[in-house]
Amino acid sequence: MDADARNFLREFFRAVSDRPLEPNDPRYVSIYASSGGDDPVELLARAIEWTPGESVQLLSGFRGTGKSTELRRLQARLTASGYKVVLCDIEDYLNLSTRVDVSDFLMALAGAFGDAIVAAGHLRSHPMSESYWQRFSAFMTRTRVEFTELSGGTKLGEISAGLKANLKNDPTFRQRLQERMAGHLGALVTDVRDYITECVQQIKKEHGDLTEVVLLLDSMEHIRGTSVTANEVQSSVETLFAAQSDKLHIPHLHVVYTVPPYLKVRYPNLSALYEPGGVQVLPAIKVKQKHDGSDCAAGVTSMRAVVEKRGDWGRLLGSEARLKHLIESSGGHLRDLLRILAEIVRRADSLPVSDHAVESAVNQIKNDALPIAEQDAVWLARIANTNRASLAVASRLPDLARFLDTHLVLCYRNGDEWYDVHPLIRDEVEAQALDVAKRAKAAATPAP
Amino acid sequence: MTPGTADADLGPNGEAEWQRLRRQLEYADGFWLGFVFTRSPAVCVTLRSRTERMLKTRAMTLQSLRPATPPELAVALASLFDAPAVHHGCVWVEAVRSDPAIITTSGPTWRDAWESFALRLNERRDRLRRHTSQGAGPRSSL
Repeated sequence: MDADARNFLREFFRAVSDRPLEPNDPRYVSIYASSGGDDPVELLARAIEWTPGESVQLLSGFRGTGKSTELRRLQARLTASGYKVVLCDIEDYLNLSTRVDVSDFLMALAGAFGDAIVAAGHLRSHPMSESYWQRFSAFMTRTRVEFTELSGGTKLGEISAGLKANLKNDPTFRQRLQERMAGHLGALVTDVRDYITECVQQIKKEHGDLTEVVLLLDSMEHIRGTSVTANEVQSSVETLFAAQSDKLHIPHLHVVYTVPPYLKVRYPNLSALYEPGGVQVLPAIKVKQKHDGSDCAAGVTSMRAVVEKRGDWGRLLGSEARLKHLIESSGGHLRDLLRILAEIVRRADSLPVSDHAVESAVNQIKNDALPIAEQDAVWLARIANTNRASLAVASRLPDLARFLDTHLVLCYRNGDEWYDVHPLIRDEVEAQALDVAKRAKAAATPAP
Repeated sequence: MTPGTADADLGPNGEAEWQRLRRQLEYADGFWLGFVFTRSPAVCVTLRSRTERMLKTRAMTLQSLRPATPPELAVALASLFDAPAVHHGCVWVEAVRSDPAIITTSGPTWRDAWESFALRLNERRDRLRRHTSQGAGPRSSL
């Protein structure tokens, strides 16, 4: 290949790298609005605009479907309408591999909000010249919680300065904090709400009485435990967003929390706890129809537009049929489509690329998902046949969370919401499930 | 890139994987994170030395971290956040290790250490991305 071809491949490879896009990025395509379904960002924005003062909504973000990009679009959309919007990453404040408790979640929320409004320039300084971390020290004093108990000897001033770091990096500190705050939860909720109210009042004072404030809290869906703690961690997420949902409503503030997709499967009526906005889902793009597997033209066109904005796919692939094959192979999952394209570029020895390069790249993505355990294959085959991801027993929630995280199972939405197995593993799953069924039948048949 | 004489025989599949890695190094821009899964320390050494030679042609070096014990893997993770040298093109963390069938020591096993490493790395990946994309840092981690 000549230098021009190599440069082309390098540029294309970089263009399909996986990173959130800003709304004004020329590569951005509004895939949800253009694929024939509802636009989740518009639905979130309208619920905020039509609910004066305060609201709370959940955004269920499947990994790799453009959630972070869409949150940036929501931020831009609301900012253009005059809202003061902050987008915070909860991962900067909480360790997301251990169980979450409403007390440390609210502290992280308040801390993130206080830091972000100053960083965004919405406030010239913290209200009363204190961040939430400083304020929390005073709260501890009022509630007579012993600092030395929490920190293994660290003094009050040091705790205040390092609270943010301790909350994220010191599991022992966090566990002790959760235990000690359990008896003061009501007071802590009030204190967090008071702090945020003071911040909002200050913003109104600086920007006008009609100014409304929005907090977009990203990355909560990244929470997951280890193989040993998965159940405990997921259970804590359920408790937070279902049983403790009333504590997540913050007066004078519009809030959007991102949440793990399994939460909606576990609590089908979760939206009722977050009226009027409820839960919005960022699904995969439907490229095949649910019932007969025929093409879904709007979805394919939308995915094609994404690729077109990244580079000259015609030069890379050579034919429309190949692009369509890749779009179908991705199952409408944006990140998978970009990964397949990156793998093709890495294998390119000519332009357009060879059939071998295309199939090898697709197989690479497929092999990343294999092998599949027999027990998983049986469940996945059932999902493929029923288009439902319902749980037979709650104890299998970690498995479902894993299926959704690794996009073995994809969620689609257009009218109703349904699930399907990723097209790259469908044949493997069905063959394995059939084999398991045959062996079970043979074992149950009495010997002649 | 022509493999050196000291390289282990990777076989056709191994060579195909090297081609993937080579193109990644050649095309990628900014931070990226990759994993090499292998049972063979010799294969890992070969991939590392080829990567190092490739970086050398671009006047860059490879920073190699090779923990000898499970606790040292946690130290290796922490050192990813140290101030990086300007000329580092890649940080290579290498620990192709397995636990004995019967564990006699009381400390963490390699399995524990790798699980912890992967979890902590996942939690801090955005921080690592920010840390390494400030112009002076290593551009990739393996």
